[in-house]
Amino acid sequence: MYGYHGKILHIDLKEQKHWVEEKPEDWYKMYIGGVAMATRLCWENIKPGCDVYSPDNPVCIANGIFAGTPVPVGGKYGLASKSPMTGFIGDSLSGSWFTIALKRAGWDGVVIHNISDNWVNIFIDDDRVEFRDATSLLGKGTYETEEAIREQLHDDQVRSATIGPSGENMVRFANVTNDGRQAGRTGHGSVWGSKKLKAVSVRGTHGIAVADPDTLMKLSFNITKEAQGPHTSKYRILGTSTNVLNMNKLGLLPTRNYSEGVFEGAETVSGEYLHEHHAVKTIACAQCPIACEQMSMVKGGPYEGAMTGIEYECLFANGPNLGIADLNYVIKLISIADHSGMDAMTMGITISWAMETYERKIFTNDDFKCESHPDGFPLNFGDGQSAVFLAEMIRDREGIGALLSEGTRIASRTIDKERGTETWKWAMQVKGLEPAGYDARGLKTFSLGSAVGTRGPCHNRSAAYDPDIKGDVDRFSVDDTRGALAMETEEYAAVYDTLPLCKFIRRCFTGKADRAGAWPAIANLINATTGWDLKYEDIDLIGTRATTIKKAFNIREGWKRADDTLPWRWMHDPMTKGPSAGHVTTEEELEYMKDLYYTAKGWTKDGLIPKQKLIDLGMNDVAEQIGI
Amino acid sequence: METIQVKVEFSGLSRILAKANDMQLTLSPQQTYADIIRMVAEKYPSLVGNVIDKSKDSLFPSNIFSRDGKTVVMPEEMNNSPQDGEVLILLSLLAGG
Repeated sequence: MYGYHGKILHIDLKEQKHWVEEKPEDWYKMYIGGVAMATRLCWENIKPGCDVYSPDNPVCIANGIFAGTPVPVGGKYGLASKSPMTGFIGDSLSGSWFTIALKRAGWDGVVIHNISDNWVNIFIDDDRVEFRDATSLLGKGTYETEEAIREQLHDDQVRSATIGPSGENMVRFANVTNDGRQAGRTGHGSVWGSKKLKAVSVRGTHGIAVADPDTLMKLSFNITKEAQGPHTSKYRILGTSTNVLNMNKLGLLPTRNYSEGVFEGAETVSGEYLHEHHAVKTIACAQCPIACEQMSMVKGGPYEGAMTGIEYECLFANGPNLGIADLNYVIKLISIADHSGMDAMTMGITISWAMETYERKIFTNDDFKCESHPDGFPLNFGDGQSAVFLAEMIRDREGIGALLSEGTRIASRTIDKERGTETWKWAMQVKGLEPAGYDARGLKTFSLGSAVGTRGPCHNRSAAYDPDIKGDVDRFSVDDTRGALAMETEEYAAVYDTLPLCKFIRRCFTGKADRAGAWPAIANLINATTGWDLKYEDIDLIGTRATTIKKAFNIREGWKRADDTLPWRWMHDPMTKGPSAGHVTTEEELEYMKDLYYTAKGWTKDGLIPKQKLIDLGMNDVAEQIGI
Repeated sequence: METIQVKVEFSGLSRILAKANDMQLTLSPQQTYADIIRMVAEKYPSLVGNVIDKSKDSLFPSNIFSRDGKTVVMPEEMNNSPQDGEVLILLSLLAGG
């Protein structure tokens, strides 16, 4: 078999043993890698209905098909478990040297079962597995943990995926981190924390055999050359933080807990301002010739020296969405999240929910009393220092930080039950996950994509904002094209997330990012790697199968049509300022679009998957369990 | 009306490359969006090949003109004429990763 090893490594943390599962080539043709393969491993290894923190919710890691090959931006891996945020599939991606090391160690994936008695660092040394005491690593941040492991093993080529203090403390939205990149959003860090799994480290010394090295090298060289040209200059020069002003000008920049879509302080938290005043270095993920991440630093004041990579999503969540127009606070907030290993988006949106709750006089200063702040503190929008205090309390689960570390769904439900309030109406979440930085009230297709997302509302899993923003459809109204558009953009994204390839490469194959421009080139890359003979339609099937296995997992966990919804605010509370003012997606509009989406997918009106549909996709065992 | 006024606002990459926030244009009523792109390209040649196509009569893929943040000037509209007072925001779209 080329491109793969045909082997999945299983590890039992409780019994401290491991075993090898061999997989046939047809299995790889079905699930390829990344999020689809990681989800398939969840399907096979997670006990349906289990508690997310139980021994029955394993950690499932899946390499990409191109990890360790010359294919640019192919150094990403998929990480999946049942998500503590949603109770449904939690699939994440991360660009990482970790996946390249894992591939070189001879593994296509890893499944980590059970719960360890003591804190452990798993060390996969080619085909040897060592259970190392992780006590000395406890309390260390994510970057420090990686460095400490390299020092302990006296090998600077060892690559690790780690959790920081947030994961150890089981902050529900904790991340797994590697090389400064986050496998984020869905709470993997807390699953690792529940297992006392501080880190997985890998040393891989083998080669990776591909079917046609000469062709793969030529194809990769051409794509790499294009990836350093004008198609990616916007990523290389400014990175995604350029979206602050873009979204502000469209009236879509979440501001003060999504109450408005324009922010009066947008200029001073923009990517342009960041580029001029704070950016110190541009860095790249493993195997990436683009390099989009803007390492940015606070250069003076009380937070001088705070530094981390800044991208749009964490920037909007901790800047405009908190009413903060000072990048010194924003960088500090994001660095707290990144160094302690928690999701900066959910952290920011949870703080914004708390700020609104304070301004509505449901929270008072006393609610923020704790050992570090015995007198409490005010928490108004725009108060950067109080936001920093609260982020540290969330990280440490101190005082009300313990409640907020559960995310907005649990926090709002708890407060509403205690105080008879309706804070859930401004808890910005769907299925328990906080949304992306595109206000969907002014993006009707994306509002559908956000509602039906299997891991919750997500800009990475659904590209349904694309036809809205590009003007292919009227973004303020609903019509009968939206179901098919949401499906097509979701399955398009799923192809990239399954290979996985970073989507920023999408114009570098032929200059055109659509299926016609990209699919033949992607098929050529896969065929040169594996020796298979995939065609255009097979690439489409990769996306269809990926979204189907994720939906199947959710159905097995009890998903119902009503779970595909939107935050109350997006359905009932229009913005008052800017180009998107006055719009919401009404419940009637959403239900109409959901009908269109389920029909486009070939599912039932209830959003369930017909048995024959699954059999047609080759997913017979899935059909047996959840097909109707 | 002998002339009309149109403002082009730069955002993101175009602002960095042009080293300007906006450009005010005075046009005859018959001039088109494609003419506007040519005028911007002439004043800011650094945009050509990155934001503006090398032909100088269309935008590079994934760059758009947004009218007042509400609607988009579609490729088939490039030979249409703008309204007096129109604000065109030049956006370089990006997402995903």
